[in-house]
Amino acid sequence: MLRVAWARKDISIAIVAASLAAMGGAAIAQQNKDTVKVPDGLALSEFKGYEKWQVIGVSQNNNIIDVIVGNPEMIAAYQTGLPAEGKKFPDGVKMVKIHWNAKKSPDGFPALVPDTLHDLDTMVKDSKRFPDTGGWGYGQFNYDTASDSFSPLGKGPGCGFSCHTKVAAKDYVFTTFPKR
Amino acid sequence: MPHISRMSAVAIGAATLAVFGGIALAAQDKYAAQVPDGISLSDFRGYEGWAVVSVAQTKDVLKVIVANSTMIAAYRSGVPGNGKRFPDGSKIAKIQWTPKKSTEAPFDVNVPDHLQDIFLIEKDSKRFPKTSGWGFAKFNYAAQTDSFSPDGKGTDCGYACHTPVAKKDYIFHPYQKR
Repeated sequence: MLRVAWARKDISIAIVAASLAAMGGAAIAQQNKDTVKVPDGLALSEFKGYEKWQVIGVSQNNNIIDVIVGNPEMIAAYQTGLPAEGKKFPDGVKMVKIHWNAKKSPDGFPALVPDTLHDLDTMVKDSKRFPDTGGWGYGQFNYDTASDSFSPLGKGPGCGFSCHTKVAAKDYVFTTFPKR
Repeated sequence: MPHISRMSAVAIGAATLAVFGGIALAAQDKYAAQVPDGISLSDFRGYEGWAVVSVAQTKDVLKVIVANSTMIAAYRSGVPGNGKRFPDGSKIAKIQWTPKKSTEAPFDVNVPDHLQDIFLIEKDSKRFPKTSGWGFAKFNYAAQTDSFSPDGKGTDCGYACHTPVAKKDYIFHPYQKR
């Protein structure tokens, strides 16, 4: 009987330990969103609150579906007619593209809907800080569902610059602000 | 000459007023749109700035689903997965665009072309008791006239479609991780 009681106590201790580990894991994941940073580049915390920013646009390619959101300064710039040839976005504007892996609708519709989060692409305008990349800093943060955490891709703030050079005349911004 | 200048000034002033008047009228028109015996677009004033719930794509449209702060707060607290229902005052809008291939992006990607329509759902248990508390509306957008017009009448247009997800309080789209 004593052995059984001890066994039960061991199980209880194991359960408590596992619960604490799980809670610790959740705390670390939360911490990760506040602390993850591209080496020599952008920190995700520079985009704090992006979860509730206003929609700029949406897009879809192959197995990825995404939404592009902007901070109030970015939305205000869009509402003055940007992006446009020869016009510059002001310092302080920020945008985040949220990429999800796409899946077929689980409700039986012929539609693609988000599955797991894939990554966040971020852009911020600061002419003094990013003089070599058109005034824009870029950062990509890949998301890992298993650990519920983000990891930076590459290093430095220039990762999107070469791709975006194609629209240099519109201050390096592809996404337009469609009517709604 | 002074007379002509004054006339020109009056004409310019009148033209300016006409332009401003036109803008004011267009803005009024948008929120004046109402489904007969149904929901007014003005119930959803400010939806342009609401936070994202999710996105979706079908063969014909690319769409984003946004919700007001009451509904976003409910989603973030676990509704409807936790068995609770969305509270009265919850409002959700689905904005549908026809898609086009981006001509600028360095890879193959679909982006919004024209606004097609907006679908609206709001929770008010007293106002919509026969449709589980939800009122539904659809407004079609005409790019040529830059105006919205209601589709159908009444407040139950989406109810039958949404009944398969009655267990999720009639809402298809979950709040996506971000």
